[in-house]
Amino acid sequence: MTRSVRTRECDAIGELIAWYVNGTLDPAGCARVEAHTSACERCRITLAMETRVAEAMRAPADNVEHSPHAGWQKMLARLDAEEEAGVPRPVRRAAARRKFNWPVAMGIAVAVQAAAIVVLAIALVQGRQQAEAPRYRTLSNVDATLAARGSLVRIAFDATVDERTVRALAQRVEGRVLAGPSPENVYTFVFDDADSAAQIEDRVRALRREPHVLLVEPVVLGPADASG
Amino acid sequence: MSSPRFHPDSSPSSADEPALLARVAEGDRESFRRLYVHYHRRLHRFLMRITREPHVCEEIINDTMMVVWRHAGDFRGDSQVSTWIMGIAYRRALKTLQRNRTARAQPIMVMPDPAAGHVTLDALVNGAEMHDWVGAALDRLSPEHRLVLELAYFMGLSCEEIASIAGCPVGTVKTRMFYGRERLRDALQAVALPRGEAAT
Repeated sequence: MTRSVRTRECDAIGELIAWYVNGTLDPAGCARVEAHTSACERCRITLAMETRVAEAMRAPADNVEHSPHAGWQKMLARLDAEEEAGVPRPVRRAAARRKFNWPVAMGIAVAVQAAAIVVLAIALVQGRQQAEAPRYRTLSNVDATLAARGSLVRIAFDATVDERTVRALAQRVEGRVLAGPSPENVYTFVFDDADSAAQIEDRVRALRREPHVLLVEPVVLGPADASG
Repeated sequence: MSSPRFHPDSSPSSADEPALLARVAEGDRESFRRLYVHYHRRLHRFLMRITREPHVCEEIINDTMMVVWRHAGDFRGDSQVSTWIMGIAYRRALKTLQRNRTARAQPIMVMPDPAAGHVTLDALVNGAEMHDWVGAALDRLSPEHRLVLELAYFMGLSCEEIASIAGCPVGTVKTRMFYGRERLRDALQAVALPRGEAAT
């Protein structure tokens, strides 16, 4: 039977049609839409129209996959800038509201402080012996990095970058290639152990601005084998 | 030997996301990178439809993720992480649409009920340029109507999910969808058919 007069059921179906078309309507609602549209031409036309609109909206404007890496590098630069400007990270407010308890917190703070003093004292006494021990490992050349003296930075390049370009870049940022490439085109750079942590951070930021660099991560910031 | 911390393609499942977000709240950049990479594609697809400009789209993604970085500790698990992040992106997209609408406001020419004019509707439904027409017609909707349609038809979200993202009652989403579809139908006829033919 074909109906052309708008009924109350048409109005009810009109509210369900969008959710039927996008596949999120519950089974009872789907059955109701199907039963009604099989009998009502007006609503059947509306359903056909909505289906076409949804298809047109879902059709991709292009098939280009957009890489997140350029955006991530910009995000890292923002995080670095915030850190540099001393912008404090917000604390976990919800948890803090529920759990904060002054007497307990003070007790913990005193205990942590005492423990820190003990650890620092031990570290001062044993510092010289421990300073010679290797403290890091890296991607593809474990021996080289264990023997290295200086600050290590790990850099992931995109697949278009060759070793010669990487070595030129290392020279430009006053470092040298210690290890790499790994299968993922990751290299480890080493910087002179005379360089300060701030200088290393400057170079990390410079590396992050390079167009083919996907990720830059300091492995050891500051002189790795400082003999304090 | 490959680094245990660099897995550009590993995607967290939705069950992993609360734990990942908890680590982000503690300032763990690697967890934040994983979350960023995981959400970038989805946010890019959604926001490119709204902005149509890659650099603006990237800017909104980073603004959205900056809010995630700074407020990860405020997430209490009342909703899914994806709903929370999409909610932040939704508010940014709404602002962008409101700004753009002020810049290029166009009145919608109200047309007769399409069910009453089958020739007109057939031309519309079967038109090869439907994709372009829909894009142009969406531009004429209010930001609230446009976003409900985008979230439902483009993102495939349910009424309840859209309500959580938009931060409004389910009834409001239903109302916006109903009127949004009506306005879209009117706008579609206005952009698809020459003025003289539209009412015939």
